[in-house]
Amino acid sequence: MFGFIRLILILLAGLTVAYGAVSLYSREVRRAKLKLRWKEKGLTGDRSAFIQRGLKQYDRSFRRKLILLVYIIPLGAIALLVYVINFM
Amino acid sequence: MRFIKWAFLITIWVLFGAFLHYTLPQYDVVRIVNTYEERQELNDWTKLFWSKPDGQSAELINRDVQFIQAVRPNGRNMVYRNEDTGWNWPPYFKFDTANLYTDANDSISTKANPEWVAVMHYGWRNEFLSVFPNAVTINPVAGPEDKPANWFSIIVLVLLAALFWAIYVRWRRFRQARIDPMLEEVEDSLYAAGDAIAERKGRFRRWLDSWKSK
Repeated sequence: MFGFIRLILILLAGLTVAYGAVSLYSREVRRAKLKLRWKEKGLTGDRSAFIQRGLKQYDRSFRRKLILLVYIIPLGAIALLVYVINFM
Repeated sequence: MRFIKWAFLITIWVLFGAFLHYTLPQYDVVRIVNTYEERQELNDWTKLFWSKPDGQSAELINRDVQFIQAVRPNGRNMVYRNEDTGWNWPPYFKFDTANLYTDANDSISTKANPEWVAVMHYGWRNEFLSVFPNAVTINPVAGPEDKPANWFSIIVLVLLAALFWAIYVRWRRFRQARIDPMLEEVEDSLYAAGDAIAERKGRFRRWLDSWKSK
């Protein structure tokens, strides 16, 4: 059981770092896109409110939830491997 | 310097290749002839070629290990160990050692009436170090020619090659964009400094010469 706990703890720590990094990166990319759209369309008015609204939409989007795959893929692969090796 | 660089690179890649060759799964088509259990002394560095069972205390220096004896189609022999990998490295997550032992015993066949099986295993056989590959799964196959395709290893190697290529390309681009211009700049300013010194020297000499009587 100790081996299992050690593996899961190390894996979760690593995956959490990866999840945080990908989340921050993805949000910055979205922010850069919003800035670009503001410039290209020549919009006027409150620029920061426009960007904040866009980021809020991003926070609720399905795209952001896809980052959860960072956890799902490795843990799913381990579960699949355990099944294939031992029970197939 | 060039020689050292190449020796270093070749050593790194050979070690990495050996690591992959040890860790990735391989298939053997064999006929299982017997199984046995033997107490193994695991008190020196070669214990790194054996599994570390979860319940094993750090002080334990010997324990029983199951073995599977097999003969390949070309008549040469192969002996596998049969051990749990558990949650440790390499990540095969094998817990069904006892079940595999049962299957292996069920597949025992004679030379007169052979029953061929594909043994998926990892690890090396080495007679000098008494190292055995670890059998992971046993599946019946049609005949000695019916070797399963090793898709898992192929996919892993292709993904690894893609990863290294991506890193290499980015590194090269980074070097061309950032490091090479900087080196050139350093070189240019070195030459400029050299020229300036030469010119100074020339002026100093001319001044000295001006004191000489003509």
